Amino acid sequence: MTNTQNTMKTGYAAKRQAANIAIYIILTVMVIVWLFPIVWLILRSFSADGAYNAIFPSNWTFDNYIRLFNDYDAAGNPISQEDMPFPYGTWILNTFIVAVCSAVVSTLIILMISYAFSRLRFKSRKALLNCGLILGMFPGFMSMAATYSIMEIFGLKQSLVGLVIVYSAGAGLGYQVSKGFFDTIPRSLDEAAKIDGATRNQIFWVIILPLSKPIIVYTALTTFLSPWADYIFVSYFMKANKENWTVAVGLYNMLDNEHIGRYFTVFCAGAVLIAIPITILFIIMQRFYVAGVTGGAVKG
Amino acid sequence: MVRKTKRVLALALTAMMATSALAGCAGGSDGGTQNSSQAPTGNNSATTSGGDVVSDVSVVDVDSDSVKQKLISAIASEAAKTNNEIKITLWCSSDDRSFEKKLVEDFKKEYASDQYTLDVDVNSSYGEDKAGGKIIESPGDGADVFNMADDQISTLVTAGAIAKVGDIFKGNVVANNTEDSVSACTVNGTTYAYPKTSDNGYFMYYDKRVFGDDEVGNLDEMIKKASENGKSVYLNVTGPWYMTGFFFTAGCDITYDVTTDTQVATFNTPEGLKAAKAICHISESEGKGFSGTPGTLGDNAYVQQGFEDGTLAAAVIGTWEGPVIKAAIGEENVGAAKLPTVLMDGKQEQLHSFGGYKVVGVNTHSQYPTTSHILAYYLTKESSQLSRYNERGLIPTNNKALEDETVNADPARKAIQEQAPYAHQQGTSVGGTYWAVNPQTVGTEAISNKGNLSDDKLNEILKNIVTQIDSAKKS
Repeated sequence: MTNTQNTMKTGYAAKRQAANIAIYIILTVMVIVWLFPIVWLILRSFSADGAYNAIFPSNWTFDNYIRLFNDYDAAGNPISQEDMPFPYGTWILNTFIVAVCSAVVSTLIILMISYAFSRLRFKSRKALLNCGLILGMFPGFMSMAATYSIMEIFGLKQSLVGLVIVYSAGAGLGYQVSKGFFDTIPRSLDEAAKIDGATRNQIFWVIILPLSKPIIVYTALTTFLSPWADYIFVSYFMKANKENWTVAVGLYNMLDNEHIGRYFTVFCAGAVLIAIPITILFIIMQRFYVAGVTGGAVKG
Repeated sequence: MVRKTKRVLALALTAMMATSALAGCAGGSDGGTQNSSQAPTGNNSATTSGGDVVSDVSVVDVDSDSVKQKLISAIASEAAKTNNEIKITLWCSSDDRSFEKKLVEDFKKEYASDQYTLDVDVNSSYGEDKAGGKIIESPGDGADVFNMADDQISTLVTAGAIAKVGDIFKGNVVANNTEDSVSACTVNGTTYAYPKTSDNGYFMYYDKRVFGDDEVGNLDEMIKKASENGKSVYLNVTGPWYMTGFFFTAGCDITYDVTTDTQVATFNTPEGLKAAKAICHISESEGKGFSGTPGTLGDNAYVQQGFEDGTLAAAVIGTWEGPVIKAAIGEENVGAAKLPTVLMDGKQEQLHSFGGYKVVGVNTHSQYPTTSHILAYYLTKESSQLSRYNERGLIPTNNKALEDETVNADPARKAIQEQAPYAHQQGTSVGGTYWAVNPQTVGTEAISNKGNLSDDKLNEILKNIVTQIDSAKKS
């Protein structure tokens, strides 16, 4: 009796175990595939030899990270800050300023637009909603040349202010997720506030926003990320103005034929550094982020 | 008779233009060099004598005090338009930036005046390989003065983005630089750029510990010797720039006409087959004393790595890798020579190559054309070329600078000079379509098959390349 039970149990357990093993093997393979480029990048960034076909560096060094901020030439002479071919520090700062500014401006714009679309009923609402949806389907870089000319007219070409304006200007089109979230907040709250004499403006700031922390965080995060990772527009917009480049454009230039031999490992170090703040930000904000996405996805 | 009168007339006009250039400089805002700020239209220069290189232009002693004063007043009249402030931008490669900055400081001192402030921004965003393209992309945002490789001149001329060499400097540029370098800067009889260095081509660096100076003449023997030493000889036959040399050697007709944008490359001929078979012949030694591809690394990184870890004993590459190779194996062990001979159709033939120059151009959209031309001239005159050689190791184009003792003793200079008769100008040989159709498929196929390709297969590849070039022409 016990025997049969045992065999039955083992049969079941074995089946489960087999399934688990299969699942774990698949998961492990996927993890390796996903993590390999990152691990490779990190390993390379600590490599002292310029060679980049080996996975494990033969000599380890922290030099590549130092060279991002204090470079030296092929003969080993230090290069002054002013003459650095790749002023990484300046670029990081530029990227940070642009990302923070456009995150603040864009978040405000997006939330206000979403509030209007969610709560107000006006004649062209439907048309505007559709319009926004269709316009949002066109990639932003399509109008790059025109945007550049417009910025030139305002005297803002190749400037960080211009970049912030461009990134924030299109923000209004990203209203869908936060509008969805606002739709889930009961309208009775608005009505109660209205009875107490609150204006629409007060309702937005005092009632809706405090209830929308997840979506605020989510919007801020996504708007912060897009300038952080954008290459195509900055490279067109900033042209030769190296002082105003962002990290994406700067790092890419390390890989041109002239520099790749001496700068490949430095590039890797730069890529690792740029990932750190984003990763930390994501880990801290993860809770809100998930709540924001799922909350916003509820049909309203 | 008619011809003679024409010539005399041309001379007279030249003289007139030279004087008017000077007068203009001294006078109002109509600087003589202003001519060059207008979009060039090709064959419109009165000074053209019909040949490629204009030789009958009077040489003005630009560095004499009287001329300098005139140039300064020309700058002043240009500065008057913008509050007596001049701000121009110079593009150079980031490796050259600190040196170019020093030169620019000297330039500012030399042409200083209390009538204006002169500010030059030395920007290293775009190196000599990209500058021309970036200028064409948006000339209005481009630098006033830019460094580039000579093969970009013709497209810049077509785009109307590069100004003719200022009349007052033309005589100097033509007379003082090597004939070949001037003709590389000349399109349809008009000189558009100031030659700066003569090393935008390739030759061979070798490790003296492996090869004696008399052992670098024959590629087959070099491969054998390198293989005995467990090293290899590098010649990138999968790179279009290097591999085209074989087709030049075989006598294929490779020409490019910028005005009609017509590319000719007669690869589908018996000569083309000879070249392809020569590539196959050396590809047989791939991995056994010969290395014909940099893999994913790219030439520069591959050569650097090869000399650093001792796997390369010789490499076909240009002066830009000189410092890296010297650092890797020690300056005393670095030798340089013209390209070796290769076995082609049963005979040893001298391998041909591309040769080229780095030059300085002036943007037609510059707000300060006169000042820009003076700067371009200053950056490329004899003394600047010499100090550029001394500090950066870049071989001059200026005749006198080339005669300098240290320059003369440089193995790279000798190698370039010896290769020169076999070096072809890029601007007149190949245009954009040539690079776009991947002519190097011959080399990549040869390497991946270890040289084991039938004549039929080779003919097919060659025919394919030519068909692609021809169809690119029609569209």
